[in-house]
Formats: sequence, structure tokens, C-alpha cells
Amino acid sequence: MWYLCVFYHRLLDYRKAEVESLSHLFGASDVEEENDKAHSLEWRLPQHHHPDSPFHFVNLPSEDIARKIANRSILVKGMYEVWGEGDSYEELEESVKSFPEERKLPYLDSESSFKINVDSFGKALTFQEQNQRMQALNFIPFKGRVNLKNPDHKFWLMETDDSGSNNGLPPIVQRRIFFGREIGGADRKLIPTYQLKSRTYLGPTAMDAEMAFLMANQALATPGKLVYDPFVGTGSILVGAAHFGAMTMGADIDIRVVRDGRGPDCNVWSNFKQYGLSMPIALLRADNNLPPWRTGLKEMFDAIICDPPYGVRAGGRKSGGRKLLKGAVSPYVVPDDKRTDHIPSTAPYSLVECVHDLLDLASRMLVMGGRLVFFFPVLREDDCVVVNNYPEHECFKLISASEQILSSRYSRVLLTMVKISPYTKEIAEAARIKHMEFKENHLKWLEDGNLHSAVFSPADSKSSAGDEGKLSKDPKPKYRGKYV
Amino acid sequence: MRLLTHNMLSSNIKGVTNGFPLRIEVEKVVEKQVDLSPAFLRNMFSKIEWKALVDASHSFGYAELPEQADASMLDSEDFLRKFHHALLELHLEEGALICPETGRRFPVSKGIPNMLLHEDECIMMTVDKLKTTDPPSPQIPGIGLAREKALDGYSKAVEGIAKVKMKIMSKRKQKFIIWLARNTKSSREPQQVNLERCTS
Repeated sequence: MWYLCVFYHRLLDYRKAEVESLSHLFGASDVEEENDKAHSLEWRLPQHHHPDSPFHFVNLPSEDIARKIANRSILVKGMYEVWGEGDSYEELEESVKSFPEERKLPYLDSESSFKINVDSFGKALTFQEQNQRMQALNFIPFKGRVNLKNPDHKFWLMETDDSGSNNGLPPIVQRRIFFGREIGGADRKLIPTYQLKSRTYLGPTAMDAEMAFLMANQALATPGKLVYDPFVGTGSILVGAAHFGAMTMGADIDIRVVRDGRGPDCNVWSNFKQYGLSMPIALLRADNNLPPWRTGLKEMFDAIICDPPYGVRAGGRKSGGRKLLKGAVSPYVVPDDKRTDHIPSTAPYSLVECVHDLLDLASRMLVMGGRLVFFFPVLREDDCVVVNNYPEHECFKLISASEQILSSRYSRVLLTMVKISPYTKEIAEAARIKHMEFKENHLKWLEDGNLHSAVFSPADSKSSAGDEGKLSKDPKPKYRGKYV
Repeated sequence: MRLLTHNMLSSNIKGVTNGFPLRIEVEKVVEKQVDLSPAFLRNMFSKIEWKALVDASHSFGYAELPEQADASMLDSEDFLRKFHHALLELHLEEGALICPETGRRFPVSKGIPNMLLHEDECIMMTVDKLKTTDPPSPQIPGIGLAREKALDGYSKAVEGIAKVKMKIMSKRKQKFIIWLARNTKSSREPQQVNLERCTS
């Protein structure tokens, strides 16, 4: 069954991935069938629509699944059963009239209440214009009562039109009008409730609430599942997963963050308490480079979601000490009387090593079919992302990569991977050797994978950039693509 | 720290072969109510080392758990409640985890176990040393291939970063050279520039 799926016009890359993940969660695709189809859906664009348009048709097995997806999602404005569409109102009328009566009548009877919303993409309609359009729908035999606050059925009349300038929105070739019955839509009230500025305990790289929910959706967080974040910090990512009922667990190398926070009412626990969420099952201080899990432990977590430190806004740390890893000093022995309060030294943790450790940990600790969801930074060149050399691991299949642009120099990509094959002895051994090589070539990796210099190095000299900037400047605002 | 966490942790000090289960040194145990979720308990049951959980619950003074357990017992409400209580509701707020082999104390304060190792406890060997003292186990067939594959995946990622970085840098450098040439031709004094900024 085809449904019209209308998205909020933001985070363009994340929209389809979210719906596909949720459809997997609600059983739209055959779970037994672990092939390429299992993680994707059939999509169709309305005629003449730009791929970035918020209007998409999606094929889902039932209305019930469509409703569940829409209500749980963050980016779906609404999922609709389309009764008619057309380039003009005459065409729309024809189309609605030809829609089977038996599918319309149950929603038009005199016992029910209804409401009609008029919406347009790319321009605002005045109250009079909205009323006019609503009255033009009098060919539909509505028998129910109007109820604006709490209607049984909501109908939407949506219009896209080329209004001269497109204000940075996707270009529109031709006017298109849709009329349909709403099946469900995202609860965007979550976002102001969970927004970071209301959070008591924040760190410099706390994850935005909307993004945390998207990550939780990608990870298929539901009650009964255990979700782990190895770089938990202030817990901002786990808050999203906990909201959807998953049990959470987090580790961080910085003990001040996980243990102390900023006092008894301002720490990771209080961030969960604030929203009435169940507390994380465990918080611990551990080094992702030397995880403390027992030898036989595997396939423990249902999902791992994290935002690893990529060394741009915050750098990672691991056990070891700079000088130790350089080989400038040999490993020293901590005197016995100083052991109890000894603070072990740490060294910078390069992104590559961090991702290696993350993939190794995830391949071991995730259940089969479990998901690894994490951000990976990508350097941008001018306006396009050049390469997509995302990390690979033989236990994992990449199912979605969604870009979020952070600056003209770099963006981050949310990678969602599914564990498709078990962790074997060979993989463990290979990872152990690699781990030692990272130790050996500590400095080289740190240098090669250093994003900080690429992102923050001084900009091009003023004159050349200025000249080009002026020439290429168009008086009309152009389509901004993913910079929404 | 809940007993579920205890059941997952071990001492990973170098040279320790069996750092599990960690002994528990109790200073303060608190009980925190957690909503019972049978689905979660069923999910966890198969992953738990039962004996370690029973022993750990004894050290907290909770003796209700049976010595042996199998999956069929999960249907009993009574068993689920006991399992739930031991696994999730008992908290070690203050105390320590002790490595069974070396006696190293991992402190637990404010409910957070500190599993970070000291400098002399983690492996600081170089790769050369590793090769002579601890060669990659040859008895595992296919290790070479698996290793190559793994290396490929990771290094691809870093190569990507390095490549784009080089491109960006060289472009910027070119622009800078043009700019420099233009500026030096003019009658004005060439501005002072820091060459290193562009090359580094």
C-alpha cells in the first residue's frame, strides 16, 4: 500500500533512513529475510519533485505499521492516505471523485468528527486563501461534525507551488496539490521538552535532543533492549534511547563527568531523573582502548550508539601517557604506598584507533542483528563530499549514512551498521595485533588522522576568496541543499 | 554499581589470565527500585554467569537465589522477581572490586566503578617485542587473511581523511601562492606572511 509521507524540511539525509529503521522495528520487512531488501523500503517521488522535496510516497504493508512509524518518528510531519492529487484544483476534484467510495465513506459518516488542515510548502497562505480552498472541497460529502481541537479524522490539503523565489528550498517545476487523510505524525513536542537548554548537566559536546532521538530510532531502541554508549559523557545520547524505553549503560574515561558531575543534583543521573526516565543500568569509568569486559562475554548489547571524540571540538583520551607511548620513558612502576590515589596518565586517542576499538568492541558485544550507530567526521571540499571512505568491518553491513553539515570544512555522517556475522577467533586475533600496532605507531596515527588542523587551519587569503565570492554571488537565494 | 555490571566486568591487568569474577568489598549497599521488565530479564538471562551472580549476591547478604538456574525457571514469577532484585535493584554504592589474581583494588565510589588501569598494569610493549615474545597464534587458520581484511577496512578510513586533507591543503597553498605573487607585484610592501601556516 502506498502512503504519502511528508517530512519536516530538515536533516534531509536522515529522513528516509529513519522511516526505514522504524519500519524494520515495527515488522514491515520480513525479519527472516536478511538480504538487502530487509533494511530498505520502496520509495517514489511525486511527479516533477526534486529528490530533496519533503513529499515522498512510500510502500508499507499496512496502515497500522504506517501509523506506528509516523508516531514514533522525529522527522515525519505526517503519513497520509492520499485521496487525490493533481496539478490544479479541477484535476484534484476528478482524482478525489475517482478514489473508491468504500475507502472514503467510513471516514465521512455522521457519527464522526473531522477537521481539514490547509498547508502549503514554500509559501504561507492567508486565512482567506485557506478558507477559499476548504470551501472548494464541498464536492466531498462530509457528514460528520467539525471538531478543531480533537477530531476523529484529520484531512489535509497540501499544496506546493512555485512562488517566484524559492528561498533556498528545493526547486518546484509545477504546482502540485494533494488531499489525504492523516494516519499519524511525529510528536515534535518531545524536542522542546528534551532540548539541551533545559538540561541540568551539560558538557561541551552534549548531543542535541533531536539528533539523540534520531540515533535512538536508528538503533531500534525499545523496552527490553540494552543500549550501550562507550563515550557517555553527560549521557545526552542515552537520554534519547531511555525515552523509548531501552535500558541504558554508559562508560567514559573521564571519572569527573560520570561520577561527580557538578554536584548531587547536576550529574548524569539527574539528567535522567529530570525527565522521569529510568536510570542507566550502569555507568562506569573505563577506557574504550582497554575495555574491562570479562573474556567470555559477548553478544551482550542490542545496540551501541555513540558520538566518538573526533578531535575537532573534543579529543579522545586513552590510557598510556604521551611520553610512555612515544617511548621516551619506559613504563614505570607505581610505588605501593601511592597506589590507592594514583591518577593514571592518559594520552590523546586518535580517531582511527578509536573507530578501530569501537568496531572491535561492537562486533564482539553486539547481538546478531544488533546495530552500531555512530558519527564519523568527513572533510568537505567546496560543496561536495568527495570520498565516502567509511570504516568497514567484516562483521558489519552499513545500512545508512546520513550527513549533517557542520561547517564549510567538515561534516559528520551518522553511520548505521548491522551485525551480520559472528565474532570469530580470527577477527579477535587480527584486532589484537592491530591494537598493538596502534600502540607502536601512536604518533603517526595521531598525525595522519588529525582533523583539527584541517578544520581550523587559517582560511584562504582574503583577496582571492573575496574576488571569487563576489563573482559567484547570485542576487537570488539559491537552493541550499542540505544546508537547511 | 549493579550486579549486572559486576557480572560483565573483569580485571584486565596484563598477565592476568582469569580476572573474573571480581571479589566484592562492601562498604555500603543501597537498594534502588527498578521497574520489573520480564522481556529484559529474559534477554539478559542467557548472558549472565549464574554462579558469579549468586556469589556476588551472597556478598551483599542476599541469599534468595537458587544455586542452579535454567531458562525454564524464567516462567516463574517468584524467580523473576528474585532475579530482578539481585541483578538490578542491589547497588554497591561504596566499596571496591578486587582482582582475584593480583588483589588489585578497583574502587567503587558513588556507585561508579573505576576500571582504569595504572601505567604499569597495561601492556606497553612494542610490536617488535610482541612478535618475539608473543607471536600471533599460528594454529588459527586463516589468520593472515582475516588480519589483512581488518587492516584494509580501518586504513581505508584514515587514508580517506589524509587524502582529502592533502587536497584541501594543496589547493589552499596554490591560492596562497597566486595571492602572494599578486601582492608582491604591487608597489605596496608585501605583507608579512607565515609560510608555515600554509604548509603545516
